[in-house]
Amino acid sequence: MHEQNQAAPPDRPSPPAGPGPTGPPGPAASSALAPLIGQAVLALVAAYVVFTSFGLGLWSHIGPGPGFFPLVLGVAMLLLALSWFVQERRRTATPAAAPAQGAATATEVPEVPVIPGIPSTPAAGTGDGSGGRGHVLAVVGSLIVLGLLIDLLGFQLTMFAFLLFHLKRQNAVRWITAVIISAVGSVGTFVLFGAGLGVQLPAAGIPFLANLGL
Amino acid sequence: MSVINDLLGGFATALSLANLMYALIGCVLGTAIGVLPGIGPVAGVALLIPVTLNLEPTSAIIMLAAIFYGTQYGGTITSVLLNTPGESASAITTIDGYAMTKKGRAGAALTIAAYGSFVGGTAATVGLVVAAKPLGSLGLAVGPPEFFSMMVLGLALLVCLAGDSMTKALISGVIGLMIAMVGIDPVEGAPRFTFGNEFLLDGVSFVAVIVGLFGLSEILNTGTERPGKVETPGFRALLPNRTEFRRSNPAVARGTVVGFLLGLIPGMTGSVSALLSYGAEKRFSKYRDELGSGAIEGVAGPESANNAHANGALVPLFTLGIPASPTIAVLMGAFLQQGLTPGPSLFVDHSELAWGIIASLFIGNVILVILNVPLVRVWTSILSIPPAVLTALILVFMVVGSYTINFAAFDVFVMTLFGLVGLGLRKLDIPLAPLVLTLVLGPLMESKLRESLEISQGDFSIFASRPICVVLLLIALVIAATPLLRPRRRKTRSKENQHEAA
Repeated sequence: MHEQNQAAPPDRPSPPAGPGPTGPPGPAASSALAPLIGQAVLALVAAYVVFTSFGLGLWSHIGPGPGFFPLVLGVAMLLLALSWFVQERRRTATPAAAPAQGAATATEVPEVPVIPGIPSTPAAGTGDGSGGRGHVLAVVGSLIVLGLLIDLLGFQLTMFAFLLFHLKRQNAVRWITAVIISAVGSVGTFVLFGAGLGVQLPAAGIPFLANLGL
Repeated sequence: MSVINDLLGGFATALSLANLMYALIGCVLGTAIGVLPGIGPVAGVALLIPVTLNLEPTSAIIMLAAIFYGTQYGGTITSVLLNTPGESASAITTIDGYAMTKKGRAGAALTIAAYGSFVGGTAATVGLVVAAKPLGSLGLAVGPPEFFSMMVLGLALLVCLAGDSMTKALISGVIGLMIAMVGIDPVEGAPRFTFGNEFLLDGVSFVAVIVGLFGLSEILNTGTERPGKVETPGFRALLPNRTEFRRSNPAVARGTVVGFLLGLIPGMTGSVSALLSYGAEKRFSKYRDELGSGAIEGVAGPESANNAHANGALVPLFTLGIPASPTIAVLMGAFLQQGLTPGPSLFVDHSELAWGIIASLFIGNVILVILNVPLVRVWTSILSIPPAVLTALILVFMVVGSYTINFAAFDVFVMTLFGLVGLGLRKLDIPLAPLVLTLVLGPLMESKLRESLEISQGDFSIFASRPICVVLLLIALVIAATPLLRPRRRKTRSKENQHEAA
């Protein structure tokens, strides 16, 4: 998070586009596909915004209407997606130019790999490897389930299960510790916000559970 | 004289027991957020907005402001001890700070960093006091076209600084503006892009979007990374020797000036100030040859600069209502949540609140020096909590933060969605900073643009007929055009090199 918060992320070398000369079309191919998907999504969203803006009204007797700003933004996004697409095409067409884009700036310390061929620091956006697809699915899935159940089962019960799931998923702590942390994190937060800050977190929608104070 | 009276009145507000307590809580939370690599100041402040919802506006903003500048102090601790910046503005401190740790001078580095931060932060607050009234009056005198032009300039600066690809920075900015369009149109009241969902009539929840984009996407991206082992210095080792203290003074002075001046410019960030301050040390310090191998100037300069920047960046917010950086944009969001509009009218309509917050900045800086140096062992102990436990507890706060804004599970889904969007943007190397700024500025920009066009009855030449607008827009154009000229210059240079080689 650090760099993204305050802007000016240091330039990082972009991963090589497409399969390498010897390797199979694995992660490199998917990394080449990712910008294309991004550009397509942006272009589709932009097209939708442009299309909808006409229906909102572009101009009224007092000046620009509700659709004016969306139209400008939609067109701008379309042009930007196109510009990005052209830039990517040029970059992949001239492999020699690729390092120039990610070349070390004045602020960067050039990285020398300890073992030839293996970078000494993780590549951009890969995290440490534990933030893989399974991790993303587990976090996102658990948040969706939590969102669906929070008003029905109440904050305390849902959050208890949520915490227990995350603590035991990676076997980070023993069962007893996980149960204690989950109880403190769910019931403790409920009480802290309710009694301490006057912010009432949701109680269970099922009367039986609500009567139990959950 | 009236400024001193106003400030004294502010101290009376800020020194009330309740406000002192909120400043202390904010400083503690801010330092903890700064120490933790993973939650930066943007997500940290956004995450804790719900905690302040039921507080009186002055207390709420005092606490959030304390969290904000507390992160600046906290970020230094991990930079020096772990070679891992807790937040971006402290990144440059790792070079000499960590080198000092390896030499056994970590304590001195931390104390000098706290000293520099205190001087930088306090001097910038004095600057805010001096500039508040005159700039506020100027702010009241300018109209919607000038405001719109000023926002365009701020965005141009941010886009220019946001990364290696200007296209991607612009994409990020436009995404923020598009998200800001969702909800009721600010002028005519027509619903836009709400898909018939009542929760979207008031727009997409700002807190849920920020927490998702910055906090959740970071968790999705990095998993549960364990930080390295921390060697905390003992109390005795915290004291810098006389030479270190003497050498740090000029660096603190230079860093304070650089940080404060850059803080005034919308679009500049604390990292840029710290970086330029390091550059200033490289150029002007007597001991410049030692920089990079554990020179105290490499810690004192950047740390003074990033704190002076943090407080200096409050000047445009308080006087013109323009957030100068993403974190200030979140702080502005907190003002709006409290029903307050930061800007020149703040000193007229809510003078007590404005001066109370300014006075609390002085108090907060004192609290942070007291909290940081002797308690460094406590702060670093946070890092010994297993990362999986820390991640799970952070997720609890994210859920609570998103849910309590509208007391609707819908916002938990919004947060989750924007966590995935943030992850995608990170993978595609699209910077997030412009998005935050445009997300907050979007409605304001649109209403100022439309007000301007209503004044001119739809004639865009209104921007060309007002001198301030012309100057601001021209500067923005030059800034925006500069990166476009770079590839051409690079090509010309490489051709020249080829010729020379031949």
